[in-house]
Amino acid sequence: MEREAFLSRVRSAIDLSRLPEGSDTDPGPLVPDLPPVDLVERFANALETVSGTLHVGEGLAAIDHIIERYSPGPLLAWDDGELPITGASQRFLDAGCGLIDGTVPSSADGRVDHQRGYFDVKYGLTGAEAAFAETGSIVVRSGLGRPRMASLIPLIHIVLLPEDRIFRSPMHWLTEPGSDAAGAANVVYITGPSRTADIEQKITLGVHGPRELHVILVPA
Amino acid sequence: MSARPSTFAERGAAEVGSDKAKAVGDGARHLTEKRAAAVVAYPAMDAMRDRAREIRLHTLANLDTYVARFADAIEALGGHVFFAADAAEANDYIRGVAETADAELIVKVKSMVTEEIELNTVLEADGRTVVESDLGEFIVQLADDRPSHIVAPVLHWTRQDVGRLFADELGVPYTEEPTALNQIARTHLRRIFLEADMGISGVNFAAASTGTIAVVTNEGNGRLTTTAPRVHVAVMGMERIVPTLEDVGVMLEVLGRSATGQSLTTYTNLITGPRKQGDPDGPDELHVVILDSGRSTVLNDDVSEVLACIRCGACLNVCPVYRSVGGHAYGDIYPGPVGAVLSPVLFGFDGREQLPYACTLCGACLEVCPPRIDLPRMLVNLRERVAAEGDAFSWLGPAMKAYEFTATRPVMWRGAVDGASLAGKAKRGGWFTRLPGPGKAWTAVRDLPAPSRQSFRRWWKKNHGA
Repeated sequence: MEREAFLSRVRSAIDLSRLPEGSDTDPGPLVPDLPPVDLVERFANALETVSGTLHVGEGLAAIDHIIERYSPGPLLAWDDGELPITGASQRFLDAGCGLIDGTVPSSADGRVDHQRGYFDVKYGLTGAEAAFAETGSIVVRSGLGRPRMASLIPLIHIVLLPEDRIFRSPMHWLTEPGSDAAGAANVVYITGPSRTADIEQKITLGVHGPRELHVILVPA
Repeated sequence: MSARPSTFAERGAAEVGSDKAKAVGDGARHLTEKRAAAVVAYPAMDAMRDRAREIRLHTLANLDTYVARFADAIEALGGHVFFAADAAEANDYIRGVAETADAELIVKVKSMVTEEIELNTVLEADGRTVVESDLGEFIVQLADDRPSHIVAPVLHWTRQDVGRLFADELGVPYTEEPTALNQIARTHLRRIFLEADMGISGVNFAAASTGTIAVVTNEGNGRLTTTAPRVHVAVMGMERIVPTLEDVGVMLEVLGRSATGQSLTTYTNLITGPRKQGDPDGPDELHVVILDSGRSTVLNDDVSEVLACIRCGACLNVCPVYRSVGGHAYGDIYPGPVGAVLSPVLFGFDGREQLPYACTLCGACLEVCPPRIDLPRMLVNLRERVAAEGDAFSWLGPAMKAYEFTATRPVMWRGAVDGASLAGKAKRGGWFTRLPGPGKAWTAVRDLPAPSRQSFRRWWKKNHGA
């Protein structure tokens, strides 16, 4: 249907409509009035509730501990320059992990061939734009040097979160002038590892996305 | 698919008490408890619900403006917009996109609106393979079944059912262990995500000012479907729009908590246009199909406010009727209280005359609805229209006259009540399921409690009478 015809059909429906009285202007967002909390502590609790793990005070040594526990495997990572501290990818390489190229070709065939190489990605390494104390979420933004797949396709997702990026709640971050959540092709709130409760309401982790989510808190 | 009984009452009678309906009831109760816990834990919930309602009503009253603004924003981002008057137009457009993209393998993320327009059937008729990627929808598709819940499609399945299905259809050894079943689905679908030529998603919310589309899933299939394939097609009912991304934020505050008791769904995916210059991955093409398909008619209906629905499923979970009969009895893809309102006005009353009666008017749905849609009032409105238009309840007027005549004459009333007490045996556990004469229309829709063998008047006389 032509755009104008479509819109005018909607307009005439509204004119005749008996919708309940609404506001003439957009009521706009509401930032919730929540009790003050220790942001790190609250974030840690909320993350644990959604089956994520927070590493505090370990620094990059946390990466060594995780690889020791789960053994080395293929890594998909953000470029070093996009991570809040340097040397993180190197830790994986030193431990014997192989780095997978995260740049997907534009051609249809090249794309599929490249992505077939993602099947067994074990580790994903990304930064985070923000985190929410109320919900235990982290915010991951796409862009140059930041493959979306790094937070999505691996079995274990490892996030480097600067400790001054924890906000009280999603609305506290979203209404910040600097958040610019529509400025990237993809911004995702990740709240724990991939999960489903489709079979008999029993929660199981790692359906299509990561089975484990490790957030490493790094100094700002 | 085998022929189904044609009315809600017939379908409901066939479902009620079955293992399937009991499983749905248990699941619905479980989800209701999870919602209640999340609401108690979040002090801002009430205020957010009020704001969500205000935003939804404002948007609906100015929907043409916001649809236009949204379309402009998508085009400015390099995306394509198609305005679909009805299901056929939407399907034709998407067929064309698939043709141009030479898409043999298409992966989908669960979406009510694509089920509404029966998109899969159309694409499959063109020889394309369409795979549902939500675990529940994958099971439904593999089994050629129908979803029983808008959020949890296989609420009616047991783990044993899933185990047998996977063994039969995927050639894997039988297991009924949910983690193992999950692993089977992960391995099977992973190849499909990575190799698919096109991904199709619905839209939970869309921000008019920025052109941002929110797609939320717990499994991550929403992200994979909208990231891995070269072409992303997003299909949305036009009422999914709100003015700004911050307004989308308000909707997200109430969606997860109401649906599953989660403060946020695991993956809240905000998509603003196709892959940008320099982005290492993401789809190269974005097509957004904005669907009317009856919605402008609903906008001009007494129950237009139902378009404020955010598809959380809370009204299903709390509804005593839904809990008893399950999702399939409603006959359409939208079950429960919201379905009983939406289906007749969106798809037509014909064959759906009984849906407004699939309700006890208990009001539980209004209590839990995030934007506080007054579904009970709407169901009464729809009942009035069914009664005024059809002849299903033509007996009611004369019957009420007869009642008035009898009830205001004590001698006649005594005779009538005593007569009813003796009027034979109730068919099932003290209930009449079928009555002759004027009672026929009543029992066609519901059962009638048999009168006590002893009337209250007699009982009173015996125990307290002078």
